[in-house]
Amino acid sequence: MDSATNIERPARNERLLILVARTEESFDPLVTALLDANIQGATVLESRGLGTIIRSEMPIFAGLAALLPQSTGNRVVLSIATRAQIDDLMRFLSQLPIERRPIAVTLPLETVMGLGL
Amino acid sequence: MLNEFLNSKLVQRLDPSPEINSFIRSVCQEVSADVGLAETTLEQAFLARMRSGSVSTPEGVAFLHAVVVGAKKTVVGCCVMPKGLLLDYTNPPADIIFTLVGNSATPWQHVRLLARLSRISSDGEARKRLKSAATGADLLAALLEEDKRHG
Repeated sequence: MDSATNIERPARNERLLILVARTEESFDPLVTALLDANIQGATVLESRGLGTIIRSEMPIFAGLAALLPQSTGNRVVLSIATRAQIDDLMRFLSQLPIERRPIAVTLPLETVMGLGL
Repeated sequence: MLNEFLNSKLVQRLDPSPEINSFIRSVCQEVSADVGLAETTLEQAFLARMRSGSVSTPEGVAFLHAVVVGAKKTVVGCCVMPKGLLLDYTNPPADIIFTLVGNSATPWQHVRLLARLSRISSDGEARKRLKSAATGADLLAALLEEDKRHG
């Protein structure tokens, strides 16, 4: 912890984890995979994908609705996890049928504050 | 992962299905020595959990579980009952019933184990493999194999 700024510097092996469950059915296996990977904290955001926005809020694209996915971007999960936890999680998620797999992205962390409260 | 928590005496194929209270009592009898708590304490914990909400799923899997103050260790069991056992009225009778007792001081271990059991049993093919076990020993081997597959 930097006492002058109160900014915590994360352990080198921690990563920001961003997951997008594309359908309602894909969210349950995502949560059980997170828990099984021992990831104990996460923030879940209700979300909508671009296709849903185009269909529901932009009439100019209405004629294309049938060509767009029915449901996209159901929920977004944000978490900070270690490499080992992320490796476990990715292995668990890769065992799911492809249509139930989330979009998953990890990013290195520069600085962080407010964790462990 | 499951290997260190499974009590082989709690892994059984029961046909016909026992009456629910006698099933819970028999689980408590077996778990009591493992966790160092009285059977009545465990029975009350299971019943309290069942009163608080559904313990089964529409796929016929039940998670009869409780976190108890002072449990010395975490114990997991699994029963297959081909004729099913009705544990609540929101879902059909369960033919795969996981039993789990953990210490309230380690709730995340409990949650993680439930997550693993849930991942295993959400796979329809895995449920078929577990239900096809002819004996408790076969069921134990099948469960450990599924655990490996999901580990």
